[in-house]
Amino acid sequence: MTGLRRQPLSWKLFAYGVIAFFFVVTIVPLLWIIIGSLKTNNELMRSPFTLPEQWMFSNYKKAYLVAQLDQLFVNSVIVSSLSVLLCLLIASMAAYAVSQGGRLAQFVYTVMISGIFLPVNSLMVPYFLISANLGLLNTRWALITTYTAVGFPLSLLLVYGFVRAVPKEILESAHIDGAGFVYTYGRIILPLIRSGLATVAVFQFLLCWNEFLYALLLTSDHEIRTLQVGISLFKSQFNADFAAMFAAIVMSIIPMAVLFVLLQRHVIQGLTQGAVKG
Amino acid sequence: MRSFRHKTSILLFLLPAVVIFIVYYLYPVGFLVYTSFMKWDSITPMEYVGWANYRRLAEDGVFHLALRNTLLWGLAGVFLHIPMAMLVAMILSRKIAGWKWFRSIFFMPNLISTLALAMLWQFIYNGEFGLLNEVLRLVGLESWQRNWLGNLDTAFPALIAHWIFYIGYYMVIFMAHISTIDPSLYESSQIDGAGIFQQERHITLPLMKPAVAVAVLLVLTDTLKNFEAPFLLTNGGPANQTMVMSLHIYNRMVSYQYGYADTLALMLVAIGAFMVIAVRMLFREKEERGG
Repeated sequence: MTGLRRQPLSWKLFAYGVIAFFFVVTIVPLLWIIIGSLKTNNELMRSPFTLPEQWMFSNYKKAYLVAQLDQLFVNSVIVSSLSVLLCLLIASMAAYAVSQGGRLAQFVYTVMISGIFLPVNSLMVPYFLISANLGLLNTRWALITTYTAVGFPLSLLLVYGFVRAVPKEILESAHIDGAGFVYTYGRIILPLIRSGLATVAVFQFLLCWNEFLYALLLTSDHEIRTLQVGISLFKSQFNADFAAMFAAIVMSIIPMAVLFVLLQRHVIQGLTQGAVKG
Repeated sequence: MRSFRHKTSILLFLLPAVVIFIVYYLYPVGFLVYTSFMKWDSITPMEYVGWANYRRLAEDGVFHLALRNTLLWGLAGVFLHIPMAMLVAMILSRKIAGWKWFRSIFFMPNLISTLALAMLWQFIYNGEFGLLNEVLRLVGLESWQRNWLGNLDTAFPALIAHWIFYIGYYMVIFMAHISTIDPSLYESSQIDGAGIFQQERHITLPLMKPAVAVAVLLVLTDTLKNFEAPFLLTNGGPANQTMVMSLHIYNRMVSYQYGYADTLALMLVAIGAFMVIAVRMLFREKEERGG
């Protein structure tokens, strides 16, 4: 949208007014909690809106120890990474099969991606029982399998979009050269859709990292607790030590913020793809 | 012979996906239907009770509040959240100074878990040292100060407000669509003397219909899943004023009323299905009429 350099003043005032409003409601709460995390509790109560008189970086050390953040991070990383791998594997295999199959495969695909619109929160009892019957309750695998299943329909939709975009000529010439089904998948399809897979991986990782309800339902031991369940317990762990709790919340947000800065392109590309195709 | 092998390979590659879909999608929904006719505490065997669970729905005041709130949340999504996202997307798509930065900043909250955001807003709404009360004091509106989440009138609006301005997700979707619009459409209308507001109204909006349809579907399915904020901030209170469907299901489940929890869950699935069909039909009809 170029060629619109001359924009009237009334429009500019309106536009910047709107943007300023959303900027403030987005940034101020985050800044407030970051500043609050560097105060003493006393000061936080007295004047929540000023800069710290004394910069309490020690809140972070305390929060890290009280909340056992290292353990929570490790658990979340293990669960999320394994689920991403599993989900990508299953979705890419299925997407490739659908692209090679006929009408029936197409039908199966359509049915499976309709799962995107199923509110998975309604399946609390069944998912609990499935994990229990598989003997996975209170293990990381309960979360890995459940998250894989929850994220699977959207991953399939996205991956299929990338697989379909692979030029037919490449597959045909591979076929003429004698490449088999599995070889084509592993050596031709997967490398060609690599950047697409990265996008899907980011989405699945976000889903796993931020999921709370099933983490709460399916695990109880604190050794395997994920970050989100950990955050929900801050209230009881920190009691009235709000400044330290603020620090814990800030630290729990940091990994995603860093990841976003690194992978922003993939996230926005994925959303764009999903929206245009969906 | 190779055709047979080809088919077998396709089947084998589809198999894991199909197994997951059957185990985690088809079977659970069937299970909900089946157990909705049962009285079941998960320990003693199920007992067939006919339509008793469904009759209980009619009398369960908490369910009515949960349903009302879930639908209100959805309406707020469709009529406030999405229009705001559209407005910001239109503005940023005109490449105002710093638009890339704003796009990133507005999108950022979507990466923070709903749980961490809920935690953050709990302190913003706090009656003693919360940010909101502090802002009100600074602008001289002391009389407006209150414990936002503990008050019958403000608890639910506060819950919706904690999310409604994080428009980044839909903003990015809309911006992606706007970027596919042919720029010459704007240029020629500009020559015809159309202002920016007219251009957005008569060029952008009509072309965005498919994107809006997708966004409406996504925001509705998303609001059906709301659980974290009510769970953490209010636990449905005060007096169930902030109860939502997912939380009601959860509460029935952890009080070992599995049969009734599954009946509620089935209602949620039905609402979701109804919404998908309704939105699809609504937008298809509009497109035909408009086109």
